[in-house]
Amino acid sequence: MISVSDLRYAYGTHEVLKGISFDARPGELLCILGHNGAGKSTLFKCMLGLLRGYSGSITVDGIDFSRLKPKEKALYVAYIPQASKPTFAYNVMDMVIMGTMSVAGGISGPGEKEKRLALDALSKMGIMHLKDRDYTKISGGEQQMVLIARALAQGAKILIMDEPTSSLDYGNQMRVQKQLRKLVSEGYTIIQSTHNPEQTYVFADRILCIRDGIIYRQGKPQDVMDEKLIKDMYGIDVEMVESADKRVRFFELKEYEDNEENKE
Amino acid sequence: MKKTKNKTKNKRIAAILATILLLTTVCFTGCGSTELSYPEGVETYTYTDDYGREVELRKDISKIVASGPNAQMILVTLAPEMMVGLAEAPSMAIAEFFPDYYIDLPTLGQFYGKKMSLNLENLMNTDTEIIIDVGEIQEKGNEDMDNIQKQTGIATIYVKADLDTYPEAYRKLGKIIGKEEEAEKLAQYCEDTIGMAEKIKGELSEDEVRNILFGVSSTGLNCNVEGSVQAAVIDFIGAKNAIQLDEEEVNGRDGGNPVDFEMLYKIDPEMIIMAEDGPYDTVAEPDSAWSELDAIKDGRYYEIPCRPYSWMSAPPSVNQVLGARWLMAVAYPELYEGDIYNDVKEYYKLFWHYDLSDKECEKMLAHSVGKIH
Amino acid sequence: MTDARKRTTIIIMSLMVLAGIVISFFLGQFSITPKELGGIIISQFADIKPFWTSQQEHVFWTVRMPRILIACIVGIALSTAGCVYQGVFENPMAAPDFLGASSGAGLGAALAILAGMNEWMITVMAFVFSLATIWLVYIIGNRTRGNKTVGLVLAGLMVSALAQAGTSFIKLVADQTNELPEITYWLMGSLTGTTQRDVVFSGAIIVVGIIPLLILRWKINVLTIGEDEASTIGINVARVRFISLICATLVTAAAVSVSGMIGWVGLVVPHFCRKIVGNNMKFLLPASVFMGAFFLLMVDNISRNLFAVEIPIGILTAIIGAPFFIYLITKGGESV
Repeated sequence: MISVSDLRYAYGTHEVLKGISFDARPGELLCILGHNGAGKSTLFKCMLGLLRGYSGSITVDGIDFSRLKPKEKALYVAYIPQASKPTFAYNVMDMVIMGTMSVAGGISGPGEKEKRLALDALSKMGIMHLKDRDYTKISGGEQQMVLIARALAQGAKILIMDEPTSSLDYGNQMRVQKQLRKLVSEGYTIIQSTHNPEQTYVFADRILCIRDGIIYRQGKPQDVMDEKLIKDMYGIDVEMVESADKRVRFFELKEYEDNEENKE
Repeated sequence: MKKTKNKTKNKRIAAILATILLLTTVCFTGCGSTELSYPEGVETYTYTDDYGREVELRKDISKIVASGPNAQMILVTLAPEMMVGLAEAPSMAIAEFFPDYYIDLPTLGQFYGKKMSLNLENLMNTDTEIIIDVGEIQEKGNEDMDNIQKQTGIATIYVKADLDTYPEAYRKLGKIIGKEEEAEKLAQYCEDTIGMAEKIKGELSEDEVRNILFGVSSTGLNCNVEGSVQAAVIDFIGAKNAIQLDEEEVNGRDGGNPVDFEMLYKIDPEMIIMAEDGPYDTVAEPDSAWSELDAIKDGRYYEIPCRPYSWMSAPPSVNQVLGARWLMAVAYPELYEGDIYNDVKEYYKLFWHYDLSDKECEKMLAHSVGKIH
Repeated sequence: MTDARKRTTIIIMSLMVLAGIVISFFLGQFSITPKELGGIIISQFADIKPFWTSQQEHVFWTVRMPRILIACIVGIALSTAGCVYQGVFENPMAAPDFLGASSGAGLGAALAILAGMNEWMITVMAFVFSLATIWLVYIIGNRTRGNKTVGLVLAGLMVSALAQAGTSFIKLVADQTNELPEITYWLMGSLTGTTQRDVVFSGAIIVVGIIPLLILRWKINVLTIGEDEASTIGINVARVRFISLICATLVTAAAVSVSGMIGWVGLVVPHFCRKIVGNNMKFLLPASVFMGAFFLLMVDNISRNLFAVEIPIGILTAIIGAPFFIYLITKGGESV
C-alpha cells in the first residue's frame, strides 16, 4: 500500500502541490483526473522518487520512501510511461529484460533468473508471440503492453501509469484497460492518470480529482462523478446520461447556443 | 494599383543605386597606377628589376624595408642600420644575435603570399623609400610587385637570388642602396662557396655521392624532399636527397612530407640531418626505432644548427650559403677545403655582424660535426 | 537475428581482427619476406640462427608491430567511445569529440609544439590538456539546470570552441616555418612514427578504460530509454552516466594524444555494427570494439603502404567514412 500525506511541492516559487493526501491499496485501480497543469505529473514524479525536495511524506508499506535507494524503490513502485518512439530500437524481449536491471545481480547483465522473470511477464500480458519482434515495429497498443510487461518484470506491485491509453486507438485502449483490470484482480495497485472521465466509470475503483494542487474530490466514480464535478474540473457545461443499470455513464456537451449566449 | 506603382518605383531606385555602387567599385579597383611621385629636388633614375619592371628609384636611399622573411634575412646581412621595419617579429634566437635597435623595429607583416599580414599604416609611418623583394622567382611575381607598388605608392623592386646567384644579387643590392663595399665582401664569400661546391662536384665519383635525409619536426620524419627549395643545399653540394618524389607530390612549403620508418629503412640513407627539436638525443638508444639505420649506427647523423636562423632552410634564404659550407664539411670531409670552425666564424662576422667566440662556436657545432673533428 | 547468431557474428569479428593483424605483419614498405617474418617471430621463443638482418628484426619489432598495434588500439578506443556516447546521450549522431577530448588534446599539442618540446612531451601535454578539458566540461555541464545530458553536450560545444580558438591563436603566433606546419600535421591525425612507448601508454589506459564499459553495457542500454524511465527501473542514472562517460572520454583522450584527431571512426563503426547486431549494447559494444580495430587497421595499411609518403590517416577516414556513413543511413528502411 502506498500512502501520500500532505504532499507539497514547488518549482522555485511556484507552488504546484499544495497538500495532497491519499492512499492506494493493493487490488485497486486509482484514476487521477485533473486539468492540464493541475499537478498530476508532479505528483507522479514525487511518488516515483524522481523529484526530491517535497514536503510531506510518501510511505510504501510503512517505509519512508524517500529513504530508499533507487534500486530499492524499484522493487516497490514501477513507472509505465506512454508508449513513444525510442531513440534506438530494441527487440521486445530486451525491452522487458531491462525492467529486471534493479534485481540483476552483480555488475554485469541479466542472467537466467532475469530471463525467467521477463518471460513470465510477457506471458502474463499475453504477448509472448511478440518476444523477438522489433519494438518500434509493433502497434501502439502492443508497445504499451510491452511497457507494462517491463514493469511487471521489475517485480514492483505498485504501478504508476501516465495516461496509458491517450495515444491508442479505441480497440487498443479497451485491450489495455482490460489487461490492467486483470492485474488489479491479482493484487496489483495501479495508479493512472487519464483525461477521459467516462472511462473511469467503467474501469476505475476510485478516482482522485486534483485541481490547483489540492484534491478536490475523491471516491468511487459512481458516487463522485457528476455534472458539477466536470464543470469544476474542466470548465464545461455537460449533461449526464446514465444507463438504466448504472453500468455506463457519459456526458454530453450542452447546446452550443447556450455557450454563445454566455460568451456575449 | 497604388501598391504596384510604388513597387516598380522602388525597383528602379534599387537598380540605379546598384549600378552606381558597381561603377564606383570598378573605378576604385581599376584605378591606381604604378606611377610613383617624388618630392621636388630628389634625384631619381630608372631601374629595371629582375622581373623586367621599370621602376623610378631615388639615387640616395637611406630607408629600406623587406617584402617578407626571406628578403629580410638578406637585407639584414647587408644593411641592418638602413632597415626601418621588419617583415616578421624577431624570435628569441634572433634577439640573441642582433642589436636592440633592430629588434625594436616595428613589425610590418608580409606583403604578399598566403600569410598576408601587412599593416599599411605602420608601413607608411616608417617613411621607407623602397620595398625590396629578394629571392626565388615567383610565378606571378611581377604582378605581385606591381600590386604592392600600387597599394603603397612606394617603389618596389625584385632582385633574383638563389644559391647560384647570391653574388650578383648582393652586388646589385649594394649599388641600389649605396653599400657597394660591404656588398662586395658578402658576394665574395658566396662566390667562394660556389667555387668550393663546384670543385667538390667535379671531384666526386659516382659512388662517392652521399645520400642525405633531411628530416624536420620533433619526430624527424617530415622530410624536405628533392626538388623542394628547402632542400636546395643538398643538390647544390653535389649530394643526393634520400627522398625523391614525383613532381606533384613535392611539398614546397616548410614542413616537408611525412615519411614513415619503413620507408627510411628501405632507403637506408648514408647520412641524416635533423632539426634542433628533433630526436637527435634518443635515436641511438637501442629501443628507438631509428637505432638500426646504418647512418645512426655509424654515427653519421647531425643536428642542423639553427641560431639565429637554421642553416639549411626555414626560411630558405642566404642562410643556405652557410648551410652549404657546413654540409660540404660533414658530407665530404676529405674534399672540403676550408676549416669549418673558421668558416662559421667568418660567416657570422660578415653576415650577422656578430663575433662568435671559439667557445660559442664549439657549442654551436657540438651536435653537428660528428666524428670529423 | 537471433542472439545465438549475434554471438557467432561477434566471434567472427574477433577472428577478422586477428586475421587483419597477421596480414598486416606482411605489409610494409620495408621488405621482409614471409619466411624471414616467421623466423623473426619464432626466434622470440626458440633458438634459431638468424637468416635475416638485424635491421629487419628491428624494423619488425620497433616499427611495424607498434604501428599495427596502435592502429587497433586507437580504433578500439574511438569506436567504443562513439558507441557509448551515442547511448548515453541518446543521440545517434554523437561522436567521441562531443565532450571536447579532441580539441583539448589539440590545444595541448599545439602548446607543446610552440614550446619546442620533444615528441614524448607533446603526447603527454595532449593527454593532460584533454583530461583538463573534459573535467571543465563536466563541471560546467553538471551545473546546468534541467536535462543533464543536454547540458553536457552544450558545455562540450562551448569548451571545444574555446580550445579550438586557442589552437587557432597558437597557429597564428607560431613560427610559420617550423612550428606551424608541425601543428597542422598533428591536427590532421597520423600514426606515423609510432613508438613502443606510445603503444604501452595508450594501450594500458585504453584497456583499463574499456573494461568498466563492457561490464556496464546492459545498464547503458537502460540509459537509452530515457532518464526518468531508467531511474524508476532502479538504475543509478547519475553514477552509470558518470562512469561510462569518464571511461569513454579517458580512452578517447589516450587515443587522440598519440594519434592526433582521427574523425569518423567513432561515428561510422558503431552505426555499421548497429546494422549488423542491433542496438543492444550486449552485442553492440563488443562488435564496436572489434570492428573499430579492424577498420582502422585496414585504413592505416592503406595510409602507410599506398604511396611513398604517408597519407594522414584522418584524411583517409573521412574519405572512406563519410560516403560509407551516407550509404548506411540511406540504405534500407531502418531509421537512424
